[in-house]
Amino acid sequence: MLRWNAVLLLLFCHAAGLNAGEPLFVPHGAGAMGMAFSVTATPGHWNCFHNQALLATVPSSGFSVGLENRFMIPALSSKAVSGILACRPAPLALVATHYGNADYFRIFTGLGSAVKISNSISLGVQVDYISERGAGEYRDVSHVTFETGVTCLIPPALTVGVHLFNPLAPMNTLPSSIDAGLNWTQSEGLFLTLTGSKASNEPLSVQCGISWDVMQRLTLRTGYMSSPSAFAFGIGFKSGSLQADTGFLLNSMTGVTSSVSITWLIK
Amino acid sequence: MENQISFRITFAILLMVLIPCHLLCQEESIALRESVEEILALSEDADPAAMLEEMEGLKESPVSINTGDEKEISRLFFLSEFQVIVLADHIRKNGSVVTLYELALLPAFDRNTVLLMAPYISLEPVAPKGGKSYSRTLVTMTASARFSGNENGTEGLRSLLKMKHEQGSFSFGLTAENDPGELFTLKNGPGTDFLSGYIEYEGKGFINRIIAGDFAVRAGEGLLFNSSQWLGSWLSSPSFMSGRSTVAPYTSTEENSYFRGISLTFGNMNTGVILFASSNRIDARIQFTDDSTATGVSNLVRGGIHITESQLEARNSLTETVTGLRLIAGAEKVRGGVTASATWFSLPFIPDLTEPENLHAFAGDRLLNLAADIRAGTGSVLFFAEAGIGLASPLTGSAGGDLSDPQADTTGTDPPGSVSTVGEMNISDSWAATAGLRAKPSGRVTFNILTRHYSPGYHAFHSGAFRAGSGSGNETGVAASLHIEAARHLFITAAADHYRIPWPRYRSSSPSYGSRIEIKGEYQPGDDILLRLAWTSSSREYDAATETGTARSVTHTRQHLGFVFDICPAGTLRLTTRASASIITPSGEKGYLLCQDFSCSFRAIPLKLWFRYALCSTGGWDSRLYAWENDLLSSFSVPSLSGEMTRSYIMLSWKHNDHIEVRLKYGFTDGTNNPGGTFRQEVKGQVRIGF
Repeated sequence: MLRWNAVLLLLFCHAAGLNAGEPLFVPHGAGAMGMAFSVTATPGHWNCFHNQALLATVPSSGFSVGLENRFMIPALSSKAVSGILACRPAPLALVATHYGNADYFRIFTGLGSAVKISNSISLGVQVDYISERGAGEYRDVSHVTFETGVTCLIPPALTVGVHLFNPLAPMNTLPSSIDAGLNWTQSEGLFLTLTGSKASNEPLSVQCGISWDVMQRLTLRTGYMSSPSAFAFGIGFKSGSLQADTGFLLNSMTGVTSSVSITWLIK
Repeated sequence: MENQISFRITFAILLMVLIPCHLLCQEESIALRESVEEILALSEDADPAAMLEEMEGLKESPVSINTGDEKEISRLFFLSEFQVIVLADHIRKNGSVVTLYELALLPAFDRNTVLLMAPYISLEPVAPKGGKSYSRTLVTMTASARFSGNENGTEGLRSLLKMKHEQGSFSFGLTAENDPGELFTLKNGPGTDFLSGYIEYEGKGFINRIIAGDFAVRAGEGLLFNSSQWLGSWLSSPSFMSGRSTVAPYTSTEENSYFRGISLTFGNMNTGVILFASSNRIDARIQFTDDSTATGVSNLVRGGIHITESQLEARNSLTETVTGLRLIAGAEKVRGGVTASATWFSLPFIPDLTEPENLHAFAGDRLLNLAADIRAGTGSVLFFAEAGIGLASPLTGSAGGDLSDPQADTTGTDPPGSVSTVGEMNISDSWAATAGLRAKPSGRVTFNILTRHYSPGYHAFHSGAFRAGSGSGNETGVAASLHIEAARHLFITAAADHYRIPWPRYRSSSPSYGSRIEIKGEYQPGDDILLRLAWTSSSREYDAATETGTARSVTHTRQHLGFVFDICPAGTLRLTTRASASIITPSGEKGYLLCQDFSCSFRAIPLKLWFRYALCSTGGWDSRLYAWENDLLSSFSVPSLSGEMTRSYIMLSWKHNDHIEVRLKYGFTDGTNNPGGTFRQEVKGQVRIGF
């Protein structure tokens, strides 16, 4: 109990000191996009990089590639690869993303892991290395930071998750963010999610989503985020150990952002 | 003083003796009431009259669903064809429905749909049919008067007569109305300011229905025709699907949105044809030349009030002739239709093209509309879509053919579809489409989504598809809603709508954006108690009012928070406490409303009593609050309260037997604390006779 109080205290102390910057990092995973990224407490391959504590619930190892095309502008596209080794007691996760074009690009790499502290509570952490390069006389910059998360099963159907990114904000120029979310498994094949997300100097964003396995292999997803206001839609298709997902974000001002990811699960 | 105390004691004893009786008349769904209030607060030109009167008509004559008759069930106009068929099948296979809860379990039904239906249905067992054809006549006479210290056009006596007679397959009805201040005269008129009637034949074979007189049309998702168009603004409605396609007799007092002529309906819900032809005189603002010759129409006039000189001038000044055809074909799970209509006006529309928002306005005197719609699904997933075009003719019609357009553009820069593009049919700017999905992945979750695009140049004068703004075109958006039974007795609804208005419109001189968000929670631990909390936020871009030159866009947001506590401490006593607040940004204007309702019926005497006391304090008109009131039969009342106001009313209903009911209502609004405020009173009386 004391250990838990210490963990929670640590999280909330960091949350209270958040400041500076705009959200820089493109969240990945077409499945997560289909639910407006309200996946802080939702298990899944890509979701583990939205809250590392979810790594503890990953049933099998897997690898995935993803592509996001922001506002359908190729210069703003982002590519990502990830892998999870489901070793016990602490799974290992690796992610690398590339965002931008020849004149400006950002490479994000992260190495994370998680542990189950009790039957219902998991804790995860990920160390990130971020490198930004610009053409011409712009100075290249690099940062090292970390992110951490916790999940808790209240009743078995309800999971609560909290995720904190870059608690080192006072020591670097990166923004911080904190997400808190719920995942409610309403019935087999149907779950609903709700997340509140606050990044430095950005308004609070409330995100919600619903995922429904309409058939054994076909999943429909939809969601809504309040800031920036956007509807999300997505479809997932499973066949054996392969899973393909696609997601779309629709914002009335900036247009459509699309994402696709393919995941290979080693069972 | 002693007399007063003894009177109070006597009154209290009387109440205690009379209260323990029976009945709790179903009222409209609270969700519907809240939505009416919010939509009225958000839209200057929202007019719920036709839809609410249609609903009130259902309340007078509830739908007997246990007949299992599709025609009877389909009187619930907000149900889709699929829902009607599912319900009729269920009753035919399993017998009578005993409770409302049973309905919520059927495919395509959910709790919210059932709550919407509840006031308008009867679960009485069906008596075996006898050989005699029955006849039934219902006459409703209403008179209401308003008084205040100031003279204005809204004072005076309103009179309304509604009559309906049914005998076998035939029925006919009549509606006659005079708004306050309108004269009753037989000179050049039928006596009343508004007179409407119909004769209807309902067949059981190939000829489904024939209506001669006034009628309303609903087709597909409402891109062309939807007489219940206002329902389309209801974001947290159980479903975004329009009701089933139909032609029905027109009984509303809304004076400009109906058809007058003949309609023929052949076939059934799955295969059929609807044909109709109408010629109706409607209100419009007419343009005249120097020698007083009418040259065209600048705009249509709604409201139906004819008191001032300009209102009388606009009255029935334009003839609208419409012919339409609808073909329906389908099977159990897929159903589609094609609708076509042609409209002629006696005078051409000549919009003021010096205003940018009018560049896509309807111009000319003819309009051709075509649309196709489809619905498909199995119950857990229902898909619906409709696409249509509206082709406006240029100013070469018969009435305006020889006219040169005084505002015609000579620079060659007119956009397509405007007045000066003679002879062109610009389909790319004249189309509209809407599509949506209703999914019920589990018994406790219902999800709706709808996308829509209405081109700025799309025109349809009787459209009523789902949209945030008014009119028929100039909107693109996505709306979604989620209804969840989160825990036992706890129901949550969340809905959002984001839309873009691509072309300038009134108060927006550039493309603009808008959004609506609603979150509602309802806790109902029993049939006799309900708590409801609702938050809505509506944003829209407008021009900043104080600037000169190019207008800057400012987002206006109205947030509304409402709380309702409804309890029935005894079977016949209902208490409703309500508190609501509104906040407007960026002005910072705020408003509050506290409202207490009391309704009671008695066993010993056939009397029902409603009472309300409401207190309101708002910073101005923008933060005004609306409060739905119980009203006379076939009527509704949603007064707006702003400034420092109190509002109170008492209404009595005496239902002597099934044949006669008398209602009396007295209400007052005290706004004397406001600068120039008045003390307004109203008295309403109504007699309904059925035999």
